[in-house]
Amino acid sequence: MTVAAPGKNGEAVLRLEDVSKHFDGLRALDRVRVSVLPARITAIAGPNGAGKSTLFHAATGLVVPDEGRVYVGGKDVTGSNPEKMSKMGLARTFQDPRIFGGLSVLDNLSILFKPDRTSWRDRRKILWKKTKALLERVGLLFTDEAMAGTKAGTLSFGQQKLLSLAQALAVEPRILLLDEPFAGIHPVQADRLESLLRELTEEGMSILLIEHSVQRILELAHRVYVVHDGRNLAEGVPKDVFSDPDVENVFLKQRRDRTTQ
Amino acid sequence: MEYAGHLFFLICIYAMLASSLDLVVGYAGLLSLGHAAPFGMGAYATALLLLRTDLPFWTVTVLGILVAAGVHFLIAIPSLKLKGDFFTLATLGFAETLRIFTQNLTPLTRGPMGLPGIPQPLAILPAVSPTLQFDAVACPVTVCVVVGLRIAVRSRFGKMLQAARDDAEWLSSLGKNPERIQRAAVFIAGSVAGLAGALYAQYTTFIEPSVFGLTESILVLCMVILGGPGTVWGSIFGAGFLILLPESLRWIGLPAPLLGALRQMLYGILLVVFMLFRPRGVWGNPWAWRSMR
Repeated sequence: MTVAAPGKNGEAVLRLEDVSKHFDGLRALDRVRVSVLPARITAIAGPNGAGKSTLFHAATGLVVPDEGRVYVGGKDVTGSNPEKMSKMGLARTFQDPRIFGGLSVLDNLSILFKPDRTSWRDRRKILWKKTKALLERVGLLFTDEAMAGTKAGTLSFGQQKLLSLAQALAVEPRILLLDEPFAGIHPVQADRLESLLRELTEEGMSILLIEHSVQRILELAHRVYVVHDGRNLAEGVPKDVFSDPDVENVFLKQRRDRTTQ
Repeated sequence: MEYAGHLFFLICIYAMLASSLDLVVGYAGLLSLGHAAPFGMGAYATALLLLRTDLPFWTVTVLGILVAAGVHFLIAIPSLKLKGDFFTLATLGFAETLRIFTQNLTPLTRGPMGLPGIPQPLAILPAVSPTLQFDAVACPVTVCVVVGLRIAVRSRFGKMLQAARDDAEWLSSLGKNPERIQRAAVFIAGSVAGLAGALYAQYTTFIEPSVFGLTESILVLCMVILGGPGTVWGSIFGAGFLILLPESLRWIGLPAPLLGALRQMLYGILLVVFMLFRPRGVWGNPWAWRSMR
């Protein structure tokens, strides 16, 4: 299977074209367009219930769009299942941490690495080395194998979320979709995560990020799409988009709603 | 001695059945009420081959295992498309279908009259009781099966299976096919149950369609739950306990009809008590249990 090639001359590596999705009469997505640029961070912003997560589901094959197409590296992959999307070079995380709770932290990652033909003892050593490096990368400190033997289900929310990210990285994707990766993460680790995302793009990874914090989008993203009521409201460079009165209205309205509640 | 040997043989057979069901229930997280299906298929295939062909013992046993595993695998393909309780109902439905099929396919299976006079090619020593000879075979076979299952669940395959149990959607998002792994587990469990069925048919020399019965499936499931799903070892304990406990009732001197009813009641009571107070079973893997709820 072909892995998504980094788009040539700034061509989008992942493109959603006029994607619509209805759930029992509820319009979750209405002709939404999103393009993920190669080796860049693209952000999606919008109030709760705007359809951001559904957009992710449509992009990764978890839901099949009613209308519209999904392209990876220029290839139409609409309707492919999550497994096939992963093989195309896509990996994602969910808003809630998704891990294999009954397995150890080590096994959560080791089952995802490609098996290599080495002797049993070497394999164990190599697996631990790879696991440790990946855990450190996302900011989880497990100093030895015994410590990484703890059941993943016993970790805290934030730790599970970081492990989930490590799992997505373990499959060596070209395009990474992150659904609110900073929510529930300790501020120190959040800063670390920010620099990790920058590092990843420097290495050539393309990232699509759902994020609520305008500040963080301004700092991190090269491009932002604002989605509201399942539709594209605005897109462009974050600085310009967030000074758009329409966008300000949506975000301000959200804030006003919160204060009046 | 003969009686103890008989009980020992039954424990071996049920230990194989329960530990293989644990692979499906405890590790794959698929609550099956149809484990009697591969057991019955193994028993019937072996019995028919022994009665109607001159094939050597090992060939017959291997064919019995393959038929059982194949049927179990074929059942799994549509059943795995269903989730949760619907999967359970599908397994129950398939096992019952096989029972009714065997009961009505009289030209081949003699229907409810069963298949009597199954040869015992395993009992080769005329001076030693067949029971003890079967024990001598069943014991090492069971040990190999249990150790093999233990190795399987600790392997990459076993871990992948547990990952599919914990979160199949997440596993497929990471590029693995959870259904394929679960189908492999069902095939392995089916072959072990088929082996148990093959040995059982030769030992008892008589089988009837009730080997496919729901009571059989429930008994094996009780053993898994009692011992603790997701442990393999627990199933052996469960098998030993649920074979020996009802036998011990023989000694209190109740009339036979009452005894049968008492046994069934005991299974029910034990199941309720364990579900209420120790849902993880005696050994218990909390993750395996969580996924069963």
